[in-house]
Amino acid sequence: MDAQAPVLELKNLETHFETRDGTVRAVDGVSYSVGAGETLAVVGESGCGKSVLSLSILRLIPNPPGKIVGGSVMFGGEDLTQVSEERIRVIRGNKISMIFQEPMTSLNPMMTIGKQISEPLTQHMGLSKKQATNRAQEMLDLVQIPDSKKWLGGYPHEMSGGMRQRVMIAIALACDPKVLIADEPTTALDVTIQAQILLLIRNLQKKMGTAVIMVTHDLGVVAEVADRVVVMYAGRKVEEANVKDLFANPQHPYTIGLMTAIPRLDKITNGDDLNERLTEIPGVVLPLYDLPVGCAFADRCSFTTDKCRTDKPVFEEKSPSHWAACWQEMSS
Amino acid sequence: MALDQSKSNIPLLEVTNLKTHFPIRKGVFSRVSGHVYAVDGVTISMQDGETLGLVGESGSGKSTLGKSIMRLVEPTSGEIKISGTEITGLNKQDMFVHRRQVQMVFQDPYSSLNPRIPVGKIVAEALQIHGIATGKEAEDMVKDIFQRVGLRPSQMRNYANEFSGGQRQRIGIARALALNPKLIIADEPVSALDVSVQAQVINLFMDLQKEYGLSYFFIAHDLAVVAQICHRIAVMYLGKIVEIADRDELFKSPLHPYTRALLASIPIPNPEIRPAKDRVLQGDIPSPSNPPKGCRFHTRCPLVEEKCRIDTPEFKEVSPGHWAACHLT
Repeated sequence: MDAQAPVLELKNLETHFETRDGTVRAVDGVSYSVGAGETLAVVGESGCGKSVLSLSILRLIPNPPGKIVGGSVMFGGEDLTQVSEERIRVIRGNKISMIFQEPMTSLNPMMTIGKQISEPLTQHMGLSKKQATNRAQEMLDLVQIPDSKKWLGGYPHEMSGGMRQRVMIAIALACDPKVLIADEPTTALDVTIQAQILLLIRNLQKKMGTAVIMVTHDLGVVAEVADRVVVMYAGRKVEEANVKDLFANPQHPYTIGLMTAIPRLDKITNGDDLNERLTEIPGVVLPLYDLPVGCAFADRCSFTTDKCRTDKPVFEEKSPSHWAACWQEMSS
Repeated sequence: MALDQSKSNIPLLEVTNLKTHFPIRKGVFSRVSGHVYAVDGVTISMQDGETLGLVGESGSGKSTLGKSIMRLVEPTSGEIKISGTEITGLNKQDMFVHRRQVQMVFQDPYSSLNPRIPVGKIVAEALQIHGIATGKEAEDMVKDIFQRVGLRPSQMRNYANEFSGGQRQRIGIARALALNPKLIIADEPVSALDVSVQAQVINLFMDLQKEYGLSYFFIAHDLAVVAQICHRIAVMYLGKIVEIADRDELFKSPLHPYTRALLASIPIPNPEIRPAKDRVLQGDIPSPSNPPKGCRFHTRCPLVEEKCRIDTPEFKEVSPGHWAACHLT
């Protein structure tokens, strides 16, 4: 995967929001790239900027109050932050698609399932109505919706949450995009349905060679689907590594904190006693308009030194292809 | 870990064949055209100081079961005994007294706190309504409770919107604790929280249990969270308990195919063990207004046999303390 040229490349992207309290640096200089067929997971808690980052790629940030103030998003030789409004509309949903957490609010309740899948096909790919309908049915089959023909005339409210998310995936992949951004696609679903949807995304990705950016808070999902992982905290990238390296040898105290804070089911099968206290990350995320000059995690970190409070840590390569922004050296 | 079962012979909570059905009304005359069988014959009991976990997918009826025990929704039939007292027949005044023993913590700390009342007053209100304390005395008690749940007494004057999600959940817990209950029914208390904060709140639940000998009826969809905090775990599917066992027993030798499917569906945060492909359970949970005949899980069960489609499996004790409802065990 590494040898390939990246399909999508973000460089130092900055998205700010102007609020009464001051400038919120929701995305504060984030870079990453993703290759064809690769799955990049972007992990972080609420307020870390992971959703704003994804929306910024497709310029879906409402302006005002939000604005991309710096950096670039390179896709197919173009910088998406600079292209015209018409051009970005051609790319949205066609070359780069997105699925969201809540499939009910992302689907139009007044429009049939068939129409919602075929509309972008007639608009983006110039298919005739008949061709588009056929393709829509094909897509429903592909995402394993039983009775696909019947469902073409159905409405979202008649479907379960899992089926709606399948429809969202069908819409997103109908135009055969190069990149699929999935923002917490299984968070609203039950675990048995989550397992179905993750498997579906993986199988379709293999078939179509799509690059997938999986935005999630769930380290279990990350471990299951990702090739590479970017960990975000307070609008900044704090760590990036191949998924196995990240879990085996996390380099940022925040990543370590996340991993020890979650209850681990796999420990029971190892015979460890649970019912003992979890390791807490003390405190809460600071408001993004009032970040300290040094490391944003310094207040919650147990390794903090004076340097952490005065100097912003450099994002550096700690071991081959394993990057982290921390002044301290974590032992493995 | 092991509970002292001999402490008392009367269980703290004893639910027998509880049913809560909601009528579906249709048409101009609101005629009842069917029922949602949200809770459909549940029998469970709990000992003092125990944490019983209840897991299941959305639509399994787990929240309705919790609310039925509080009588926040009126059960259709069956018995609920708290420390030996039958509560389904109690009138309003008697029920009011009983509610002091059982308190509830809700999922959404954003909508379960009144935004127009200072949070200290929200907690003090519980004390006033139940005639425990008023004025300065109540204030002092609230101060004490605030410290116990990890909040500063000075924060009593603040409003709910000034707190983060985790802090709001602490306030919800403080409100439940104020009445010094024996049992707390916690309905998905950490599922709206971020992992770093979730750990804080789970620890708080465990600390308070140790300190006050509380019992929890802990409703959650996240098996990892339930495993962390519970002594015993019940698995619910379409209004019925399909399996119940001690925590370690349930994870080591799950008997019901649904429990096994649930366990296999959970993504494990370890990239070295990626899941087998065949673990995926097909289809969705059927509608509780028209549950399948026979075993309710037969439409999705990988091991289904002819008998499962016709006969309802009996809920039987397979090994000491380990109950399951499956024809194949």
